[in-house]
Amino acid sequence: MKYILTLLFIVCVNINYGQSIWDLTESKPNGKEESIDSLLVYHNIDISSRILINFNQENIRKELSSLSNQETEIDRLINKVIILNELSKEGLKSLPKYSEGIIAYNKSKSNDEKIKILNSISDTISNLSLNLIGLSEEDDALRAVLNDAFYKAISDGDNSWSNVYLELFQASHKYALTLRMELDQLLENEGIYVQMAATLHRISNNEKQSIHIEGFDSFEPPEFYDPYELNLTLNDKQLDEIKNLQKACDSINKIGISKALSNYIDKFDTEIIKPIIDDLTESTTELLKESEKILKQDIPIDELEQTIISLKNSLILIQFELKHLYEKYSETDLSLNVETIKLILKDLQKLSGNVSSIVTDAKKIIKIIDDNKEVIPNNIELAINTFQDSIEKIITDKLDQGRTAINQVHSELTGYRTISEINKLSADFSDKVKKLDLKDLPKMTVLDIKNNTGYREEGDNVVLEMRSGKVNEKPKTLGKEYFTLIKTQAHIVTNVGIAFVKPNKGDENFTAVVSSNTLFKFGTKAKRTFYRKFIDVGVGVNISTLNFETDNPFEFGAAPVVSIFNDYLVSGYGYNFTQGDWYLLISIRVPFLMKELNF
Amino acid sequence: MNHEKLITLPCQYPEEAKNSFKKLIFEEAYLLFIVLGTGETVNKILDLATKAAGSNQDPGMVIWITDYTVVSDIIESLNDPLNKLNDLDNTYAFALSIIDKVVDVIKKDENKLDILRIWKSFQLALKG
Repeated sequence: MKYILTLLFIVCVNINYGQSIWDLTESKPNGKEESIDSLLVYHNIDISSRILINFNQENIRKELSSLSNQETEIDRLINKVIILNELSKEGLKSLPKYSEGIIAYNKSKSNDEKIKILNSISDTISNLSLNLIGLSEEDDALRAVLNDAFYKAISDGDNSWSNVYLELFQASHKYALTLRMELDQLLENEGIYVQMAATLHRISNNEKQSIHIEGFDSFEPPEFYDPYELNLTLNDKQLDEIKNLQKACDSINKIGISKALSNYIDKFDTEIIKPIIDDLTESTTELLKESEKILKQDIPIDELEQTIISLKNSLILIQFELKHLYEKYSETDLSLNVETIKLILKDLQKLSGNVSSIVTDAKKIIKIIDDNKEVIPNNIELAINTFQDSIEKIITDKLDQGRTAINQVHSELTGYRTISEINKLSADFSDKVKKLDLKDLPKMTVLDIKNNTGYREEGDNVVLEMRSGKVNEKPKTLGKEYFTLIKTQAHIVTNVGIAFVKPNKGDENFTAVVSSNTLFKFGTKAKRTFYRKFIDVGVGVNISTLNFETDNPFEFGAAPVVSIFNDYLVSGYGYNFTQGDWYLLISIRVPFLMKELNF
Repeated sequence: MNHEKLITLPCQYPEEAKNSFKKLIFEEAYLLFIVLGTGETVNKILDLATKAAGSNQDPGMVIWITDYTVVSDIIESLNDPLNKLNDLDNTYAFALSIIDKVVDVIKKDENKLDILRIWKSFQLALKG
């Protein structure tokens, strides 16, 4: 009970008592440190940061208690440890204020001022001290520890209250550590362990790679890579892209820009829109067939149809025979002699045979309907439910497909995953990730993205995950953080794209050429992902292979350019060194369209 | 025993004792721990209290009243909102805050009389 009240007190005096299992701090390439809000799970960090991880030891143990067979005992011990640690931490923190106040108290000559000073310094430290004493009233071991600490304080030559406070708060911290060891032993005896792993998820090829974290695994760190290093050579991906771009340029120049655009729209319609519509049509047709099948199931539809046909035939026959009778007897003398009456009766008797078959058929139809009167509503209900479920499934599937497509387009256009895509990522816990006993859990460690991650690019993601488990039981996630890597420092990028150039001389229209941009990018804050994703202004140089003169295959030009919208639009005014002519240049970056489309 | 933190009232001289007591309560800015009576337990409490009262720089002070009847009128006039001093015969000691409010009483039936218990009185007095 005392512990619960003390916990309430801790909350009331606003002591920082969070539930997070760790406190994260980003150590940036420029040497600055910034705390990462652990209430959020998605973070943008610099591509060459180091993440300092300080474990909240007691919160981790609190999470583990549910795995233990002695949950109540573990919870009791954890609560004690948490409270004692918090009291000692806050007590030691408030001690300087008290000591300074006491100096002022002794210097003061006026009683009123002394009272004022004591009132100003007393509240926090006396409350913390009283809470500690309160806890010791229910815990003889703690009381003995505190009494010993008190005597130690007054026997070492400094019997001031400052010294007493210091000894008492330090002793409570030591006592908490003893309890924690006791707790760790209980958990270790049950085979409860903790693990932590981090994985880099590349955005360009969806490859993943485990990141070494000191003390938690036996991964070999890959070769050091500095993403900020100036590298003007094009990578394999960009070289492949150039080949595709060259083909695209040839097609565009051959058929013209407007025709190429029209072809692209047609292709989009044929390859993307039409398959979707066809797929939907097929799905709904299938669904209608299925619904019809369900409606008819368990009902003898064929038998019913045959009986109705038989009934119909009998009725036609009667109709015919009645007509025949009418014609036969309408001309006859209706004195109705006995012979005539006999003849009529004979004909009617003959007709009654057909009537009875009608009755039989009608009875059969009624029976079929009667037999199935319960089946029909059930079938209708079943068909409706099936129809609804199937429609829902079709819609859900299509929405999922749409979301996936949107996510892919988003990733391609911006170079970053969407939150829902990031959410699907996880850290890999291979055999190389150690299973640690709690007593071996360090106070802190470092997720060293800068030195332990190797090759990486902007937009890649890192997932950090801590989990715990028990032998032969499914592990439980204790904490998970998602990081998106961003270049926050100024840097230079190279990219390739199609440029449309218009020579200064003559009336030539724009022609498509392959070009490469080398652009200086300004630094930004990690939080400003919108800027990096969608604005990302750059200034630099564009180098293009030109074809002003069709006979000369080796023309090239250079242009100072400004880029905007994540380099989707680059514009400048260049000079053709081969032809000695100026030209206007508008370059567009097309990361995925060119790979898949031939104009 | 830390005699520097102990003031014994001269109960054999009632007037002097009263004046000293009033002065300590109403004119000095101390956190007072007042011990009543005599005997083995009282001696133990005095020993613990003078140790717990801190150094000369700290505001804690211990007053020993061997015969409380000498100053009972002053004790009865103290600010005691919870009426803790309702049975002085059954009281070993009590604590006063800086504004002379009764904040804690140690009764004769208490069984945990250690230094932490006395420290609690001083902390309640400090809290006010």
